Amino acid sequence: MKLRKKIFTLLGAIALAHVWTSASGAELNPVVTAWLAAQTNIQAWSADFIQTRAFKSLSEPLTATGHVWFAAPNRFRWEVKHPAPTTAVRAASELMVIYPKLKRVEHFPLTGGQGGQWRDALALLEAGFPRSQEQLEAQYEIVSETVKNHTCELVLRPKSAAARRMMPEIRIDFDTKDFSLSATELHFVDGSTMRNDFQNPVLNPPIDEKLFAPEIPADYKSIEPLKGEHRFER
Amino acid sequence: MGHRAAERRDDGYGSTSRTGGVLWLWQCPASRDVRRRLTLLLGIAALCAVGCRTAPLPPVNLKEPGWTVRSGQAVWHLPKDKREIAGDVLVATSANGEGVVQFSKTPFPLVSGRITSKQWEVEFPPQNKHYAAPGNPPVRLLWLYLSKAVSGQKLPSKLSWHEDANGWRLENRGSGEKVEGYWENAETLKY
Repeated sequence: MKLRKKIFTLLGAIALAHVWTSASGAELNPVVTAWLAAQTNIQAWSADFIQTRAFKSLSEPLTATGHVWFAAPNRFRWEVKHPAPTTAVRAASELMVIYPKLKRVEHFPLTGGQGGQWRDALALLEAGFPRSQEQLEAQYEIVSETVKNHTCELVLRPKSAAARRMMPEIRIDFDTKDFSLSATELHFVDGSTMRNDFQNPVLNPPIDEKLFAPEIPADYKSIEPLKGEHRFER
Repeated sequence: MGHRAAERRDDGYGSTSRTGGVLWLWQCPASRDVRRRLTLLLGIAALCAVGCRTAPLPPVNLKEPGWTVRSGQAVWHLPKDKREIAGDVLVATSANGEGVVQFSKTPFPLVSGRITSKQWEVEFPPQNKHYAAPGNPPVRLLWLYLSKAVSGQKLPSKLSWHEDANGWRLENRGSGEKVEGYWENAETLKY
């Protein structure tokens, strides 16, 4: 009996040494706390990314490449360059998605009293750039924090039930040496995933404000797909 | 259980056989319990049969020989409410008539579908809906016909397909639903 108790205690200690599981408000791994503190020094950030999308119906993933810019507190611009060009710009109160070859721009308001599955899920796209532990925990439940080699992986679950119905999990990888963002991975309810691996990051580069206020050519069609929240299915 | 003399009548169970044995089995009050059990067994057998025919399709390796992959962007125009949404589209077709379609508003998957000569399945992740059945899909599941259209297969009469250097369009003339777009890789990729 004493031996069994000792074994269980030892196993529990080993488990804790490798994985810190944090509930809301509880103690975070000091590495994560330090990473969150370091975020306040980030006023801007840019990097190349390799985007890997895995679908249940395909045994091999699909890849795309592009560039991302971030400007505190919550503006970002994702430009997918290959294979099909798309630009997503998160401005102060809306997300714009621009399809140059379709000559089309779609607007997704992010403010306003009306919630909704889409709005809540779109709001999660800025994962990876939390400003504080409070802000992180306001949007996510921290499921686990794992440190391996020099990478910490945070597994987050959106607190919004509506967002969870589309995207039940988000993972963030950051370097524990310089706290730079290494990767983000979104898990969707259909079992598909999208991972962005970042390369050639630049911390606090000069940012042209026009990046977040793109000029839309006059011949582009402007649409607001979420107007009167509807279902895209048949 | 004995056999009665054959009775030629339609008893509502669809049997007008002269053999009588089965009729007696259904009609005899004493065999009500047997009837219930048989009905249950038949129902289970039917479910198993349907389930076997519509088992989930295994993942596809598009790098295997015989697959042609097209990727690009498209706008999905829904019928009735005239709403539309753009996204990235991937269609893959195989020499044996199989097809895969993915339509995403990256990063969010919107439609994921597969079709073979024997069955089809489609998923709408935002609504967490999944449909599958043997045979050909209903025309209202327009996305599932995209792979047939690009590979030149015959389409139901309600559907029309158009493709030229500027792009392509698949339309359900009955409902007004359509998907139209362009292929990024003008030369089809063959793995």
